[in-house]
Amino acid sequence: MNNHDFELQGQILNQIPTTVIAVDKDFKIIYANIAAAKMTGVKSQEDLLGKHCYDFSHNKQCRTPECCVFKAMEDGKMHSTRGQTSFSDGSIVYIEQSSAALIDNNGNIIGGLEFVLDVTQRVLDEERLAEQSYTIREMSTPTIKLWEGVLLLPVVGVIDSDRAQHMMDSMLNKILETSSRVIILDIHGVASVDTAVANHIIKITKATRLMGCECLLSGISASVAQTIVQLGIEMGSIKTTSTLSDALEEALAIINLEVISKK
Amino acid sequence: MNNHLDEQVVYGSFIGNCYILNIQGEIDEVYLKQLYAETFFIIEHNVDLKGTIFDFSNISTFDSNIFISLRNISKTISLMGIKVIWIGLKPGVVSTLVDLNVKSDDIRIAVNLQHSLSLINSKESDFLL
Repeated sequence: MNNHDFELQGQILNQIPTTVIAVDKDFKIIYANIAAAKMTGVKSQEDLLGKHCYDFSHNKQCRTPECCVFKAMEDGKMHSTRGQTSFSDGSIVYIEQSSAALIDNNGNIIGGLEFVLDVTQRVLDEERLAEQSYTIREMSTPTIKLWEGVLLLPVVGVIDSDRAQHMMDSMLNKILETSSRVIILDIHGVASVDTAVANHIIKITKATRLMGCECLLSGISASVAQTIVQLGIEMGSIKTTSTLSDALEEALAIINLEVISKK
Repeated sequence: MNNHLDEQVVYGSFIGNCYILNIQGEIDEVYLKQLYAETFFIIEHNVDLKGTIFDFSNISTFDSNIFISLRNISKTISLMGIKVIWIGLKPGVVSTLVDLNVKSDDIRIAVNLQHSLSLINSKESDFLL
């Protein structure tokens, strides 16, 4: 390998947008690329050389047996971690760090290598996504108190096992909270009903019954009814109606109420 | 071995002609035996008893064996012409029972004590149990 090759390798390492740091067994930095200097907030990469890595960045694992580099130097394997790190200039970022042992030509471990990725944006995006999913989930299962003792859960969209579980939790807690005797599950807005969806619905009605609350299934269109029969799904003793008003009438009858027109 | 220290207390009280059993603590075989004995003692000595209410509001864990045993006790009581109603199952317990896929169609469950008392005092004859 000639000088030109070494120069090229140096350039490649410097131009990698990922922080690369090599430390000796005392955690003193023996190599750092330009990205490392940028991340730690020092002027040039030479400022890092000879200094301890934990003086520039600090996280929970630093100077403990949990440190990735320490573990890599101990067993020669690769270790990764993800977490919050604070730098000497006061900035706090989320990083993903991978460490491997630095091995010389004789196979002896002489230090450790660190690759650090700034994942702050990704973590923030993930947090935002989780918040949005939570909001959407809450919005998708609104258990409404329709009358004293009557609850309504209108379902729009697709029912998957996650949503069914959330629907069930929401319904059971609302039943407990309001001591309702009837709950109407309106599936008018459910795109299609297949065996899986029907099983989820049967499970939900079974659960509400165990809470002492009757579950009425409303909004069953002709096509949904045909599908249920064609698929041979046994709906058991679940009371079903085609419209929400029929279900409401039934619900009021269960709690001994009747709607009469004014004279 | 019949060790008295192993025995748990079964708490029950009367409201009119209804006997309310407050199920609490850890339900195990010893407790179930005790429950069985005490409940049937009460039933035999109260000829005008109309209904029995099993209150599970203090129970947060349940397994299928316990469920089946309690269902059998309920069935036995209802064979004697006494209405049996369960109340107070918590959402967590209900989720577990649904996941365990236990057969619960033959148990009458009410939403609260008031509802269960009105069911017992009603003339409703289509009790499933």
